[in-house]
Amino acid sequence: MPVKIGVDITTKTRFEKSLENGGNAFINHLFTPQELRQNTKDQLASIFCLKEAVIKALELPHNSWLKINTNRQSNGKVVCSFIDKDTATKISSLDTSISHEGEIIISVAAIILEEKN
Amino acid sequence: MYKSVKELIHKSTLKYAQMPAFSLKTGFRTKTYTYKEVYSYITKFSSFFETNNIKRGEKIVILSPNRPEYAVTIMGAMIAGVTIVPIDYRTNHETILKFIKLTNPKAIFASLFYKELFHGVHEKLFLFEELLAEVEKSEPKYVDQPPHDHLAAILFTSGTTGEPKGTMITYENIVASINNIRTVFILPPQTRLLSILPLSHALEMFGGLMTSFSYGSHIHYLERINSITIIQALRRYHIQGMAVVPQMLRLLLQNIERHIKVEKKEEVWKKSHSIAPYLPMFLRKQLFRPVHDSLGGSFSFFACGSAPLDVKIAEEWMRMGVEIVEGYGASETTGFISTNTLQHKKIGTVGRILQGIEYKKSETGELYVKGKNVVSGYFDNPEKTKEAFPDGWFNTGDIVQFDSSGYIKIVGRDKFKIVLPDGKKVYPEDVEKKLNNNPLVADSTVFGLDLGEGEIVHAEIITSNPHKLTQVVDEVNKTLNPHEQILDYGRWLHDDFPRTKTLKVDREAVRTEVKERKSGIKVTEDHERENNDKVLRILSTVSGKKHVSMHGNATLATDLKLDSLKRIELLALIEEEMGVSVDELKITSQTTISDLRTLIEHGKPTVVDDKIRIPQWQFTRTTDNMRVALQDVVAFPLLNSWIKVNLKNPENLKKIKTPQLFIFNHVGVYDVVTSILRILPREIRKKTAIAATNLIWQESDIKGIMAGLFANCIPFVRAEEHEAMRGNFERVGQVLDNGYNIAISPEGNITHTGKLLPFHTGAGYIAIEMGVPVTPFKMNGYYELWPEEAKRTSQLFWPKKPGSVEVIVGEPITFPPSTSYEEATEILRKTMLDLS
Repeated sequence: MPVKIGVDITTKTRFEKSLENGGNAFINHLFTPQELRQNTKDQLASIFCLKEAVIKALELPHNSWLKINTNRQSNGKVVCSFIDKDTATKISSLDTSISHEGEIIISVAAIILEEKN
Repeated sequence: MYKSVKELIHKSTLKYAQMPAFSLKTGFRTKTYTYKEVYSYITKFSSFFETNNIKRGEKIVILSPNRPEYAVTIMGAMIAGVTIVPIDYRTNHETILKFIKLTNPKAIFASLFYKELFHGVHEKLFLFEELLAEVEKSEPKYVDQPPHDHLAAILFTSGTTGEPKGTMITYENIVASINNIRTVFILPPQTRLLSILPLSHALEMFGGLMTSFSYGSHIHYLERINSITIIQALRRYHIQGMAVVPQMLRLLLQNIERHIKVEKKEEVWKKSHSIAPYLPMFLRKQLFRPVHDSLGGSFSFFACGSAPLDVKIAEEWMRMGVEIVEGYGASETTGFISTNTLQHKKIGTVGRILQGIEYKKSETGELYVKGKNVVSGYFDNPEKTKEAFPDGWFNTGDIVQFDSSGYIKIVGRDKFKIVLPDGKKVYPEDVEKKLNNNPLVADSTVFGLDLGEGEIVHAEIITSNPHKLTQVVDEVNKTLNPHEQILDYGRWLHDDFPRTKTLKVDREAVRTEVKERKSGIKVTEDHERENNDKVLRILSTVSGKKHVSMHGNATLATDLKLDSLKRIELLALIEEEMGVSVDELKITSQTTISDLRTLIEHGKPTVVDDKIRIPQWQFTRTTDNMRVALQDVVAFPLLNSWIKVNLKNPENLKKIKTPQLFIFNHVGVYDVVTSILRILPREIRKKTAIAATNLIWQESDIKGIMAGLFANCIPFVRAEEHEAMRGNFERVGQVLDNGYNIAISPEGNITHTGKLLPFHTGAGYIAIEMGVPVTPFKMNGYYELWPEEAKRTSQLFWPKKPGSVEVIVGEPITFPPSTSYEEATEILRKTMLDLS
């Protein structure tokens, strides 16, 4: 049962600056429609951080932003899933966690892969 | 001539009642409001404001990109007499807070995205995403129009000069201004317009919105604006006109030219451009048919303002048969002063002064205007009011020349204001203030420098620490707004700047000297080329480094320190400003600036799925009738003798409310056509399309036409690539917008074993994002009926033996929008498996 872990740190101001500069094209590169519907600016910074952690854990190519979707549940928990079938079938279990302290956002992704046959 | 704002809104909504007024592209779908619906909301705003304790004369702040709810709120507030304070959504946090403090609004109206901004700033916040549902609950109330001198809106000038200037616009100003522009600018009803300039600007609020509304236009808004979404919208909605800043004209043109280059048609392109000037407009359109097709086929004009327009670019568009109408105005004149019109225009001028506006020129050539559209002054700022409005005239600050027919040429815009190519304005005083705050700076002068691509912000700095100049500029840039960034600078070698009689810095003299210095030294040729270079400019914005320090072999990761966030910012800027998509994967830790240039050179024009489009002819009433007739008379009787179809759960068919999604187990090439279509009631079948592999259209035109004619198939790309998927989703959304159901295979492939394959998560994605119910159909017995080879090729039309297929219809499933894509996919698959 191979286990993969990924961690990422993002600061809110840096994310905001990139967002201001890159505008809509920046947003479209990173987030799915559901994410854009559900999240405020700061929450999007957290989602970015989380996706980065997942990409690191799975060693996905770095254009995989839109293959990962997150869904914010009513209790505030963000649940992560994969839009493409190839990645989705590789994963047995996945959990993520996000934390904030002032400017800093930190996220961790822990993933258990399917046993290779 | 309208007498009041109320009359304008009332008359248009009565006259165009059933016609669409506003549409918003949201995700892959389009939400449309008719004039009648808009009116119904507008009449409810008065009681809505009352319930929320917002009284006539009190203010509300609006912060959001354009959307129908924004437009409706503007007009609802105007009817109710509540003063609106719209703020450009691109304004920085600090300035927004300044505006709020100054105007002391009773409530804030914003989109969800900006919610956090108001934490602890204001208690009463209404989100546009939820607003209309709230307003809907209020009672309609008909109130008297507020008096003519009542304050309708406060519009802040886009610059961030030390003190913000809020233009006070009254009801009289609005009515006068719209009446003025309507005398020369006339649109036929239901002209399809795309609105991309922010509604917080006078030109868009009073022209793009209210004048167009008075003509019964159909105004389209986009949730997100960039060169891709704009071109997609032009095509999807067959847009006829839009108001733009000059930079957009350049960007769209570059995009077209890139296509020409990719298709190696430069020769034809050049020839066409040399013939075009001798042709009338309608023939130019024919000559440049492919260009017009790529713009949606109906495009006819750009209205252009707010920054100097490059004559070369305007002429190029005109040669292609696209009209460019340049106008001129200011918030202080409620939007308009002068304009060219479709009938009377001179490129290179901003047209003639509108009726109803008095004007004069000062000795220095500055234009002064007076009229009912000219406001009385700035909010809470008597000093600036006095300065800009001497004796009831408004001093535009622009130096103009009139030609013999009265067309205005603007010689210099505002003495010092820097107008960037995208229309954004920078006030040198703001930048200087920040520079002079730095202990290492003795004094500074900032001005716009045009090095071939429009003005950029240039700073001349007096300092005794020249080696720390870069560091100073970097530090100051961190405190400036993105558009204010100092992109070019130099050390002023004298002790002081040249000054005017009143001891103010003579910026013009400084600028002249800098220009001479730049052209005088030989090395500056390279330097200048670098300055002109967009790639370096973008890299400099992203990395915060001065661009002269960048060499071709500097790597993006190590030397410019671009991490993943900055890398996407870089790609986004290349997309927005150069109209090129670069694959993120191609940028590695080793990529250098020269590599990046090559990538851009070979990059794709930023347009999604250019070639694959929905055949429009398939979605007309005539085709619908023809198709159903062909099915009933030709196809189905033939099929009847071979395959019987038994329907199970027919009651579920009654629950289908067109448009919605149909999903099915994919058991063969002709499964939907031979089985599912046959059990659909005619009315539903008439309005049903099928997502079929795009290979059909690639194989031959005839096949594509047959698939369209007999089964209303539309091309769907079988791919995991996100770009291709997005193209698919766009087309599905368009079919649903047209009012048709669409059948999609969630497995993506035909089963090899007869068993259901895993579903694409894309299935859940479509189900959630399309916002319509999903009805599952399961076919039993079909797989066994067909020979193995026929399941994969469209050549073999007949089953190996006569037999029967059972089609089980499930209940339509409706997903709450908060369902995750994965969950929705699982639910769909489980439902399909359990269907019996």
